Amino acid sequence: MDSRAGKSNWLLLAPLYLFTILFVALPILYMFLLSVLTRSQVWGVEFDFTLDHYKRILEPLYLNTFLESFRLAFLSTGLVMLIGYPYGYFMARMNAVWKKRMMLLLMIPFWTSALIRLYGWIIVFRSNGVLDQVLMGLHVTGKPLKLLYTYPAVVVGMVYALLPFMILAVYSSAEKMDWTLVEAARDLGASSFRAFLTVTFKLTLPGLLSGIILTFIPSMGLFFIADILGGNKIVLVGSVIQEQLTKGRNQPFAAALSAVLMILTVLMIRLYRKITGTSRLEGLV
Amino acid sequence: MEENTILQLQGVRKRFGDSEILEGIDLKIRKGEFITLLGASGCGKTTTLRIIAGLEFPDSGRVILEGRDITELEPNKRSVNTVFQNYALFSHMNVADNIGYGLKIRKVSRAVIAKKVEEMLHLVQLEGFEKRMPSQLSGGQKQRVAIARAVVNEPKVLLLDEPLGALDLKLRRQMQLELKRLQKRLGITFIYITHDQEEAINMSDRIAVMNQGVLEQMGTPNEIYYHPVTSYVANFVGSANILHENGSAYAIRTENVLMDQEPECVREAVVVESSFAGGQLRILFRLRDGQTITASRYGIDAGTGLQEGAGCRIGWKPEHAVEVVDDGQ
Repeated sequence: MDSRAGKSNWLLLAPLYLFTILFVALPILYMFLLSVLTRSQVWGVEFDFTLDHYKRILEPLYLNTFLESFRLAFLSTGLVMLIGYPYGYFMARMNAVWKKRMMLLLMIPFWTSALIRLYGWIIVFRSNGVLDQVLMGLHVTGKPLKLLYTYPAVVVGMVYALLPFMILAVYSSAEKMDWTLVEAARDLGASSFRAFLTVTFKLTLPGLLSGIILTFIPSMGLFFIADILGGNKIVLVGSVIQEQLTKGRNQPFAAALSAVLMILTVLMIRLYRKITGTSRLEGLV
Repeated sequence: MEENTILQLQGVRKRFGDSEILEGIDLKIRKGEFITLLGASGCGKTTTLRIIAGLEFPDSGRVILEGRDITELEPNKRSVNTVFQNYALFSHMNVADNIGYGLKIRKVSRAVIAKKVEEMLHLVQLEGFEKRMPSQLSGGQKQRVAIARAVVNEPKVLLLDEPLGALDLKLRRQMQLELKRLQKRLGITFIYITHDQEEAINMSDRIAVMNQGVLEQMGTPNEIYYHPVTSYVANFVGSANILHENGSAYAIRTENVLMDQEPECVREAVVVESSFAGGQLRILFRLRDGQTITASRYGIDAGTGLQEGAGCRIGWKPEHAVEVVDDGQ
């Protein structure tokens, strides 16, 4: 009886396993395999085992790229958190009609390609662009700021692209909040700020934490934002990988960079979960 | 103001949008009293409680605690605590932290908190439950934690919003007794909300019957039961007949309607129907002027010999017909 139930369960789950093997496990294995092979002269790889690609990553040029990528990821995640948490929190406190409207506002940008939206930012940031004209028209600044192709422009682009994920993660846990708990805290003597810290914040923490992960991981890889809004001044690991793969035609080195990026990201999340002591994450794991 | 009045509401009004929830509530509660706000859902009893707690502010009127006007005071500044209907235990804290929350907020030392929490757990018979999380407790246990969490702060008034609503009947009866015992032991003024008239009669020193934002009557269970002032009160607490005679309305409890041999039986009536439910026989009569009267008796053989359609004489003792204001309900 039990074994039969187990068998039918296995059959039901088979597509899921198949999908995971085909599209998750195999590509990762392929990537790790590529990273220890030798680049062939013209195109492709030769089956000669080597760890040279990993050694090459230790060169200052590439180490700095990793450092720069992490710095940008931390900064973007921090800003996204500062804006996204209050946004998601207040959205959850709105009435049903306004919740729907806000959700729509969040979703509309997704109807347009991310790339096209980034080009929109170019129009805003470029010298004498929309932003400059508005600021100069209001006499806030006297001359164009020339923000395009600077670090702040890249950060704005990152925050813009990643904010919705944070908002939705925070919103989903704030939505489930039982607000009578806040009333109970107030009734028991807590000021509204104290009640927020001891009850609301604690109970929405899972949402915030998964929002941080949902922001941090992609921000390590969103190289095209740095490319488009940062010119070629800001080089991230993602850009290097892409260049090695296309222009450099060095598949093994690109694979090694990807492997290191992946391992570092996993370690980062491990560390983070250990520090915050979260076993449960909203919408993840 | 009387010496021992602890809490007073004066002309408290509240509206939400178009609907008037409270139409001017006046209430005086004495120190150490067990008061029940009794009424059907939507009568404004919960709003009244929330106004006393400071979770809601009245549009007009005053709330006075121990002679001090607290109408505008934030909930955390009032020496009033609430046991919420759904318990509202902090799901991310264990039992001990839940109970100690109010003390911790008031910066009481850890050692004192630990001692008081232990005392409270003993009081509500939950020793050894300190480390349990709310999700690991049964309904009755959650209820006890919610009470302990409020009582540990030694409030001047404890508000209880249908605290036994979610419990099954047996546990409910047991908790009624426990709550009453607890209130006597602590000497704290309890304001208790329920829609269950039996519960109100069992537990309260005085009952305030509310109906559509108005306080219909306030009095001891005895007064409410035997001397209702409105037809609503007469019908909500127990079951009563409302009889109209010479332009006045009278409430007559179904169990006080006499039949046949008694000397008071001076009215001719016809049996319309009789039914037996819940250990009670109910007989519906029609009087000659068309008004109907229900009589109730315990035991199935109480009304033997009364066939439907049969003529009969009924009546009641004069003191059992209480003149009431007929508010049409």
